[in-house]
Amino acid sequence: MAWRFLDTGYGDAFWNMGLDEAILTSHIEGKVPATLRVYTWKPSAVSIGYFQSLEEEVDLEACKVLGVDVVRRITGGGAVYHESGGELTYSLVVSEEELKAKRHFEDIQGSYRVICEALVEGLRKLSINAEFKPINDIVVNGKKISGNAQTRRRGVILQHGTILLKTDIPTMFKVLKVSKEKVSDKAIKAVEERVTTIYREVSTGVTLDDIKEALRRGFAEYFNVEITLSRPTQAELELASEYRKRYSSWDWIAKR
Amino acid sequence: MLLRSEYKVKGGKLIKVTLEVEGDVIKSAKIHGDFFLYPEDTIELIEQALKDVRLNSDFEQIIAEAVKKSGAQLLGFSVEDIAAALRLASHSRLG
Repeated sequence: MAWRFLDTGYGDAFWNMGLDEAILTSHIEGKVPATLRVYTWKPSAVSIGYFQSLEEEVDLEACKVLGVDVVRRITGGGAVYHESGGELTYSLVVSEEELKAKRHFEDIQGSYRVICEALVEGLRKLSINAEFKPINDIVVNGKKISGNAQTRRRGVILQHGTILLKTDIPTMFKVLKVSKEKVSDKAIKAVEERVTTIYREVSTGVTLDDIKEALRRGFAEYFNVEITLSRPTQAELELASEYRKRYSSWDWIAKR
Repeated sequence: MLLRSEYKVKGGKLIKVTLEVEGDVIKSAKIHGDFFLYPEDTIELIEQALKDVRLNSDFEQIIAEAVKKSGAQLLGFSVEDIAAALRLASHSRLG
């Protein structure tokens, strides 16, 4: 069965997370096929991992001043500053069984690897020589270009991740409280030197649509499956609106 | 009284522990960080299991039991790492 490709464009943080979860639920219920989605953020937002402390990771005052939303993900991993126009986000929803039938892997780390390798295949279409770096990163010449996180429910995987287009490190440092330990460990090189972006790696004028299409083709070839352009179902959109309420509630955002 | 620690796991993840203690007994434990744990709500089970536990307890065994009970899988950190982070927080007091 063909997989779906959804390009849902710009959305706010709560809607973006709501739709990822709506696709997950819909696939668990067997209502939609496996789905690759691409999207962007408006306004800019910080997403924190499920296990992170809101107050320890995010400068809420700075976010308020800068008009940056804050959302807690259902996936673990670290805090991310999603700059509007500065990155492209993808999500893949697929059952572990179907994923295993396409590509061999042993464990959870292996499932990160195969999904990230599909992403790497997509980046290669843009002549970017990327590679998967365990646990959950994709790097180009050792520099991080993508961070990824997944959750699993009833045998279905939701993995989402960001691909940097350009950086705004000064704003990132304003909205995130970078832990002292992490700064000291990584202060060896400036952050700008530790990350890279699509616009830095590709000299010719690559468009957002080019990148989306490269990802679609990369996933299709890597998993040897047809991935056809589609739209979210009405039920998914309604579910996403429902979930959006939870994602934007203070109870959820400040949960931990 | 609050005890805190930050523990860097080999491979890059960070575990942050906050313990609220009365005497040498943990009244509440919070384990934060950028790791991965499946299913995610296992973290609440671990935190619950640490309640009313003494600071010199065998944290490893307590966490291992909670992990086993929920059939959880860890990625980016281990039961031993959480225990080490908890000991580090404990020592910030005992130390």
